[in-house]
Amino acid sequence: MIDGSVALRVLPDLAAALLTTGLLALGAIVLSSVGGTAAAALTMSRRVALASIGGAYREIMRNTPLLILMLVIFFGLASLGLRLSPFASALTALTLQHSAYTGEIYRGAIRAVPRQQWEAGFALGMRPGRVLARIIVPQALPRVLPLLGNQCVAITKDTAVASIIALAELTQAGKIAIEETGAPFQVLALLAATYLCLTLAIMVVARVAEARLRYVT
Amino acid sequence: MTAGEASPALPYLLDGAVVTLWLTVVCVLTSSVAGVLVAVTELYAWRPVRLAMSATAFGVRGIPVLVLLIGFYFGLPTVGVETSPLISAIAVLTIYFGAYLGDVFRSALASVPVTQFDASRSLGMRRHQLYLHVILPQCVRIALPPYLNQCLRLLKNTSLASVVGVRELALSGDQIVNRDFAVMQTYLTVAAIYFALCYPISAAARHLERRLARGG
Repeated sequence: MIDGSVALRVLPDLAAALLTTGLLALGAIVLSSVGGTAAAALTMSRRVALASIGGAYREIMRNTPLLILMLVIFFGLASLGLRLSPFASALTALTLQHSAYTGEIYRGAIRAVPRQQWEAGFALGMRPGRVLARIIVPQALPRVLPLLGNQCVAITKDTAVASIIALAELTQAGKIAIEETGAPFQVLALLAATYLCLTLAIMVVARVAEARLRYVT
Repeated sequence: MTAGEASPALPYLLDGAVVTLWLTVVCVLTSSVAGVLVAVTELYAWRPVRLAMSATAFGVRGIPVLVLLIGFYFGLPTVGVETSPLISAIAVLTIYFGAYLGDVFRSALASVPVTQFDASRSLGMRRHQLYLHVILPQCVRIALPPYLNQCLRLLKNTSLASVVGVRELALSGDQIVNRDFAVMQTYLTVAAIYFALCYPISAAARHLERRLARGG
């Protein structure tokens, strides 16, 4: 079924698009792990105002489809005069949505560390930031890593939604290749295989990181 | 029905929301059945079948829904199978979330301690009694929060059906935007309707998660 000539013809386009997908995914992964820290800090804040801002942010992101978020950022903001490129819009939408999820992962992991660990740190005269960095985070990390791995896979798959705002990433390149070649199955088999390789690679990296962490601690 | 000149935006969007809701309910039912099938196959089937099912489910979970949807909708007609946008959307969401729900059901079943099986048998329970009265109730408690989370994801992912032309909430929004050019206002309204549909599910999921964490 796979026609070699079709594959050869679309391969260069798909390879270029793979780069865009990779950059978008990597950017969103990095930014959302930073954004997740902010989201977790907000939701765990003792100040009611900050905690409710964090809670509202989390709920809005959790209960809105990524597609709609992307449309709001790309078309909505453009209609108000703020024109972002498709790449910037997709990156912003992915980061906003996944920061909320990553924040929940951080929060859950920090909460899971027994509170006596905090008290012990304070009893030694440590400041809260130092307790967090030296005592809590190292214990939360093993719990966070596998979930972050899943999160990276989810982000990578979600980059496909950017095809809707015509960003030339893998799925969009695939759609164009289907129109050009009239061979949807061949193109899609290639596309699916590429995504599968990406997600598999992320899983392998996550496993290795987990194993390394277990070795270190 | 199309977005005619006269029709006001909100009722038109709500019409779309009804389609979204309907699509979600249908897909939750079909993918639950698919999920049970996946879980039972992965746990009890003949080894080669089991491995094939695991590999397929793993593969499905590794690629974006959108790619599956485009493949299904544009690919099948080239081999002579006619599909409609709605059928494609239901089929793809069923396959995709069947794979995820299979995982949810399987791990719930696996998390019931083996001793529960032993204890029930030692009480002289038959196989169907054991499953019905001992194993399943525990599974449901464990599986319910992740199950609801998958339903929430499913509801949000129905918005992708707009890509192949199912006139649900997201596509209704696009049509209104193309007609009225009130871009921001329309998309924010669409987002608000999605929020209203999603929030009860996510709130229920979190409530049950907390209750399970407390062991109550």
